Amino acid sequence: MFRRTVFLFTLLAASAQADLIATFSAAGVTDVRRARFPALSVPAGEPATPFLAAGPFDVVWTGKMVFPARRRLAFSFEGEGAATLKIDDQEVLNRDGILSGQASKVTRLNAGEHRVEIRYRSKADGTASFRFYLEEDGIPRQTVLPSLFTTEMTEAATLGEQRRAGRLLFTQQNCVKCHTSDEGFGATPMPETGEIGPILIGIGDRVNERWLRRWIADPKALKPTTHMPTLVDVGSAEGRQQSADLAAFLASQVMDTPVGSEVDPQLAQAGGAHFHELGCVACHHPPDVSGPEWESSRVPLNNVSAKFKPGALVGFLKKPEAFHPFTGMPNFKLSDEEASALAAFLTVFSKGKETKDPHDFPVGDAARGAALIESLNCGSCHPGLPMSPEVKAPSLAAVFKKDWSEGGCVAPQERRGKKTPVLNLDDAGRSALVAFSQTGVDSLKRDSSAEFAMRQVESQRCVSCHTIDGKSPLLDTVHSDTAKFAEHIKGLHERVDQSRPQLTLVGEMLYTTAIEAMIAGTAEPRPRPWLGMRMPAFRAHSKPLADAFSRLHGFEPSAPVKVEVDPAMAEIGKTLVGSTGFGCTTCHGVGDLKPTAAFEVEGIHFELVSDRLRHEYYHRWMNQPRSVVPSTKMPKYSDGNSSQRTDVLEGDAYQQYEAIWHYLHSIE
Amino acid sequence: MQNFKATFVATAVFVQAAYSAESDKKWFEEMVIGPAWSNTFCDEFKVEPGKRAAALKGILLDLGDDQRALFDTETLRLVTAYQGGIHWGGTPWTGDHGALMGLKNENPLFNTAAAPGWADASGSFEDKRPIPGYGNLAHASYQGYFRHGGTIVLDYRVHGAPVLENVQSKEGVLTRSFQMGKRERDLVLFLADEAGAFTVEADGSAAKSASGLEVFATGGAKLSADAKLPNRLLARFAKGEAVDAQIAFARGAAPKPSAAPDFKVLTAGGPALYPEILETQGIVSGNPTEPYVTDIVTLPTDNPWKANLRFGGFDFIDEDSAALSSWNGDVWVVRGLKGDWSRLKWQRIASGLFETLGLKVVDGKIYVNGRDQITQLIDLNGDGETDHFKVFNRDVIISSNFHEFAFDLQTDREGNFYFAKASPVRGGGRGFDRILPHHGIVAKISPDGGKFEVIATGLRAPGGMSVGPNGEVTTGENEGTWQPACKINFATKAQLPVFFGTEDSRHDLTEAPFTEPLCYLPMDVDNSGGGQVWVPKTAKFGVNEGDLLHLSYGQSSIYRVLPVPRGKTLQGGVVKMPIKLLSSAMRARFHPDGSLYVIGFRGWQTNAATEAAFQRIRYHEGAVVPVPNRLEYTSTGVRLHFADALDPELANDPTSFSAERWKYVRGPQYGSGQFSVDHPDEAAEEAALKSESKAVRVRDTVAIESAKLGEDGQSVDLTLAGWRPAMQLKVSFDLEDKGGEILKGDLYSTVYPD
Repeated sequence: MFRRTVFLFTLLAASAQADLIATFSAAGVTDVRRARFPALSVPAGEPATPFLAAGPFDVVWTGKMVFPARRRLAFSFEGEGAATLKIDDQEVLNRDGILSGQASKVTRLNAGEHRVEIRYRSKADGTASFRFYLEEDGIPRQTVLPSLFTTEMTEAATLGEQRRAGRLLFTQQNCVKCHTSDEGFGATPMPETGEIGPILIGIGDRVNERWLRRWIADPKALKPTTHMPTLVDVGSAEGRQQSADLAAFLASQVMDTPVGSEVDPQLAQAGGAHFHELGCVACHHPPDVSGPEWESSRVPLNNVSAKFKPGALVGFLKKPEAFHPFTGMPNFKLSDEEASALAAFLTVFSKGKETKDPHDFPVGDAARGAALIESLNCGSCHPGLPMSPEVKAPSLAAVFKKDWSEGGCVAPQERRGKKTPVLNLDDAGRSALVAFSQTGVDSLKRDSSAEFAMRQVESQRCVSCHTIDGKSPLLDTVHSDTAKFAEHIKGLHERVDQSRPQLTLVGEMLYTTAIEAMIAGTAEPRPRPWLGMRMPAFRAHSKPLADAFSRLHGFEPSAPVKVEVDPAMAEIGKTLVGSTGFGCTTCHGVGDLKPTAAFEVEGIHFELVSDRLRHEYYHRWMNQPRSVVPSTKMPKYSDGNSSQRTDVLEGDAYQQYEAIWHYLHSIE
Repeated sequence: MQNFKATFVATAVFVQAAYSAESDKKWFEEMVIGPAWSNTFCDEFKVEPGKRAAALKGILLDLGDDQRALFDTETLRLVTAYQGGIHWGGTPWTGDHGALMGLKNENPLFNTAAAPGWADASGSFEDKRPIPGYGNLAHASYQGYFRHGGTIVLDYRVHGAPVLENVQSKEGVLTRSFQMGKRERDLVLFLADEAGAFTVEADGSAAKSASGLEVFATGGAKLSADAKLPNRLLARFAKGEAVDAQIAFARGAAPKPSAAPDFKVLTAGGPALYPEILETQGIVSGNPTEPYVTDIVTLPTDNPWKANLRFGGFDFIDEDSAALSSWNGDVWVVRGLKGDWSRLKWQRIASGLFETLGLKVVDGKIYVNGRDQITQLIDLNGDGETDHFKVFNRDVIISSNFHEFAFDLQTDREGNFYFAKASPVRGGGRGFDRILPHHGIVAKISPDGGKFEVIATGLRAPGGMSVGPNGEVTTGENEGTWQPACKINFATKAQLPVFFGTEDSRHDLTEAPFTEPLCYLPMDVDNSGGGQVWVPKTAKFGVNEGDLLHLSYGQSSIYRVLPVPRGKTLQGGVVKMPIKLLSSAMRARFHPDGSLYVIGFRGWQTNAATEAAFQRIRYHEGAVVPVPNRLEYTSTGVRLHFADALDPELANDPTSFSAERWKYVRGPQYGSGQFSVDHPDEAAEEAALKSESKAVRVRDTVAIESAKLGEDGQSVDLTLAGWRPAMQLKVSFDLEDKGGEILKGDLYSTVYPD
């Protein structure tokens, strides 16, 4: 578990070049955390952070802006409230009320670091809306890129981050399932408090008893990142008997579901290609690797053949959330062929690679197992399992009155009671939980959208596939490990660029509905059909997560905004995107026409733009695509505001891009 | 708005719309290509499974009435004759990156299988070329063709004997007419392959296949079925003096040959195909106040032949005129450059050439470089239009891959010709198709065209090249497999031959070290290189004689190259010139008046604002050119020299400068990310060899420890923290000269350890 916590902090540290320290205060309480950039969108009733009560608040972002070369910048705000900007201790901008308006005077900032302090006060009702912009001669007004910020951690910020890590661990470990709250978590709880563990109804149809026995005996030996506690002492004969009994009971839990057929080994080769193509190694080790590697916290697959019963794996792959709505495994909307082939690949290649079992287990007794399950309260986490009303863990309120370092589940082994479940925690995790415990229970009853977004980015492993703040995803490093499985596929290297989209500005880039469609897997058609990989569906929190991404960037969640198209401008835009203009249609499809000559890269079909892109991001992208995605092949058509095309709209690049915007919104 | 429309017409940018405005036809279906069209064609010959690359260096003869015949200039055989059109493909036409131009010859008059068109000395039709299927035959060679109106006479040699051939089609009969020169041996011609066997008249004058092809021969030709392949028909021309002959083909009726052509007349020049001289009005900017202004040589895009004018090669014929070659195979001459440009006169002097991306005029003779050959364009009758398409050199071996462009055409002081050829990149841009000996090379051809030599290998997509005053060779290069970033290749004459880095096209230079570039260029500086141009003594351009300019096709920009000695070769960097172009920058040449002419088009990724443009860049004499004119590497950093005295306050202020450095990983993956030099990440660099790393962008910020204005007042010494070699060093400057002119820009350079 130690390594897992390290991973969490590594992720945060990875954005060290995109960091500020945000100090929030409300009703006399202060809470400090890191912030990738200064932006807020706090709706009525939501606190600024989970550790503060809802209501009016202040926030101060402090850190540095780093410029590799001299810049002459004007700054401005967007939103509502009161805001002040200081650079190198000099006040540059001060606004109150509606924050938009004239930008600051141009400030010359030489290459190097500049102290930055932004103070913001929410509206009196506690709602907040804030974004921070820069503009420069020829560069349109745009939010300040996260990569321009840096900071050094303070003690308060470190504590704030530790509390947050503890809070997340608390829900991930399903603590609130045993330590229940009489009063519940209110109308707007931390979303993760509502998550449940796998549903084990009919588990006997899906999973082998032998594997269950092994799993119960020592879950983290099979899955180092598991949240399943260790419930028995496998080192003792009693513990091994308990494992066997529990497994026997679970194996007896069958429904009247048809048993699937064995995998077809002939499909394994095709499955290997899918495994590679879908980028499964972003979150998993290949099935033929048996020694788990801790650094990346990937889930091993070497026990797949031992775990699943015939046909069950195909069912799981096709609908991972069927028996576990909050599983980390997303839904790839696999075809029957894909699921069957993947199942064959995983089964064939994991055979013989199972984690060695050092113990001999006795024969289990299902009846004893049933009793034990009741006494262990397994049903707290796994709905449907029998529970005993006699067995009750201390209430949530009671738990928060205790010193977690001195006893209970979080405490180190020597201070833990014998009957206390052994959670999969390392020392960093314990410290985080202890730090969290000192903040009280209230933060579980509320949440901040922005923080939810960043938690999900980590817990759903978004950054294993997507670049964020210039940090390359894990997949970039490990994807070549599975290239061997796809070597037989002809033409695999003849495709256009397979880069995946970045997450850095996602909330600013896309309308909330477009984000939600991507997360929920309902975006049709796929925006990037040329990718061999595809975005799987994460359905558990798709709507709140999409909202959270927008709010993280300071935008009110919204559906596409209707653009009143100026026909004259649209006509100019149409010419500009065509071959007599910038030739955008070389790489971008429009209407029924495919890109005329896409080579090395392809662009998103123009019909999708109006439902996806926010206006101000569009201008940022058009003006300087490589400032957003350094490796993009999208050409830059203007130098400052001076367009390559001098004979249209007086060479004014912004106006030309605006004309294209009108055209893109005129496409039916 | 009004302004927009008016100027759109005035600049007359070519409309390469997917569909033409007047009809539902696509532009390439409407373009008049002419009676002879050189290209790589595939067809529907079912003897071989599926489609075949029917002729890599084919000439599709348009015989009228929708009749066509394909002549393969490598095997010297008529590949197919058929009625019907084209399955359009090919990058310059449909934009397709892979699909070839196809012939709709599902129901041909006849076909021939892939084989030499004439028997070798042993009487064999076996393909004995060093690489079967590719390159020239040892015993027969194509010499070019003559055009007389719309009539074409092919010119070739077989076993030393000159052969002229004309193909006609009339009322279902195809006639091949030959003028055979004196023959030292019997010459045997391969005529047709049929499904059924041939029956031949005893006198060899007529033949008929079981599947219905009837053939009739007159003059010196005698027909026979191939002894081993009775389905194959041959014709023998006996050893002897010059003789004329005709062979006619038809199905369902006895073929009667067309009237015999008068070869003497047909090879002496004939009526023009494109007699109209088109006028355009150039756009000349006012007197410059900026250092450079751009004038536009308006292209005759609204031409009667719907010719697509994406020019990729040009040279001046004289001070008043220039010849330009297009990607779609046209050559045009524009006259009136010396005047006020109010009436520029354009003539289409040739069409149907094969992706002609290089053109050079030597002593008034126009040489144009296509994928198939260098062709000399000869006007025999003084009407300006080409009557004789004479082969200058066609030793280059090509494949059907869409990407193996033949870029540029240059000469050195001795009169040798040079061009750069790309490697056969696959459709998605990654990896390569089968590599043949001339893929990814710089070729050198002797002044008489007789000798073809490979002087550089390892290119991927050079875009263009130059030859310096001392025989130096430069090329551009596009990032991709084995090319971590775009770059400027450079080699002295003494270094040649050199290997420029693409391992797949290393060829015979197995032991040669990788000749590292003069400098690398990151994506936002150059994402696709064009040609280079050396500044001549006559230039009036605000730069020095002997300077080198680099053209970025992808960024539509011109860069001044600032070389730094590196042993006997060069390293260095580039700074962007303040020049605005209407399209990409592919080729540039200095006019005798000292101005720079630039052509460019849009065919792959570029920010070119228009489809194609021909422009003149004039320098405002005396204006401050706001970029350094010299670069030095010192023991502690760099020294930048400017042409004017600098404001001392800013020049001595380290904050007027900033610097970054990074490196790339050269390997089999497409391009490279950017990696730290100061804090190497070995694992990341190792991973970059296994999978694409372009998302990695780690640049070291390099502190400017001091900035010191030199005693000359025009140079600045920069001490860079931890000065060390770097594949990429970026130095930004933000200065003023003493007159208050802002001098702001970025130097991108490469610093080698040696």
